[in-house]
Amino acid sequence: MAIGFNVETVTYKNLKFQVWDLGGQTSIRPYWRCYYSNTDAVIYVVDSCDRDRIGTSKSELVAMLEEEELKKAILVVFANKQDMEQAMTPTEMANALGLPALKDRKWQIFKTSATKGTGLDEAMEWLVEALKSRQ
Amino acid sequence: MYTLLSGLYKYMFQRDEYCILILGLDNAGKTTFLEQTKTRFNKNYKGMSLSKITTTVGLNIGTIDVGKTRLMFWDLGGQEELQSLWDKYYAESHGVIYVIDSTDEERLSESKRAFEKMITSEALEGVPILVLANKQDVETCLSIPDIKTAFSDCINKIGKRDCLTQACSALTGKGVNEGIEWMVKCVVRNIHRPPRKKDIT
Repeated sequence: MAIGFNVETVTYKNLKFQVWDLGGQTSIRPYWRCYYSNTDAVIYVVDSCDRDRIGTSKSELVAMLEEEELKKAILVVFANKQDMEQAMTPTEMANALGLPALKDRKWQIFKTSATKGTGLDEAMEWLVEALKSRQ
Repeated sequence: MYTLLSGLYKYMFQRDEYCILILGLDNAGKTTFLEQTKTRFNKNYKGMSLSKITTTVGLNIGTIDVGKTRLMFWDLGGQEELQSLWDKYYAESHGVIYVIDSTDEERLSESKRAFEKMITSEALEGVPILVLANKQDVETCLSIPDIKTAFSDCINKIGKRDCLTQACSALTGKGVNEGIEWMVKCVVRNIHRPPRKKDIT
């Protein structure tokens, strides 16, 4: 669990990513906004099995995307923990997070399993192309 | 005086914006069509290489200006599971581009069913529909008459709206300009769905 934040620079396909991995606990969430400026993409990681807290996940996401500084940012949702049987499908996830209401933003969902490492390559590959072709 | 000035401001700095939905089964070529369109209508746009396009599980957007008219595109994922998200966009759409893979005879009836469901939706009543018979660059593809025959029992469900079937290759760009120009003409003349006014930024 990240209590503060981790900063890392990752190079993938000749594109340098400055990644801020921010802690997700309620008390830390107000600090997310300190990192919004110059953000090209938001990777929002959601526990696909935690149906109880998906509502909280949605309201945090909605509030975040209202910020002027994130107006142009691409949204990538990692529907994580897909190795579990009861995991939500991408459509369930899209509806639960209210993504169809986002009409001016490019967004995409990836099924991932961070522990097994699945879906991550595909997602990064997609993000590289998406960032290169911004209008 | 105020009316005159505000009218001038609007004339100079505002565009009529129309929202266009791009629908169709997965692998029909919707995202490729969007990228091709963006590249053709935006001088400074360096599109993504069309070969790198992958399956959409979400939404791609794009804007083009055709004269004084602005089109804003919504390109949605086409997989069966994702089709339930399509109707969330209907109420705000001014036009629909429905893309068919002309090389996939096996899935033509599946595509027809999705098309049928879409055109019978009340929220899309009167909205112009451009049907793109895509991948016409492939020699063995189905012709326009073949596709029209396969979709023939939908004809009486189309209702009172503009509808055109256009041969196209999103990959080479053939038919793209013709399709877009037709769509612009139709959304502008459809008085039932007035445009959004957008400041030029």
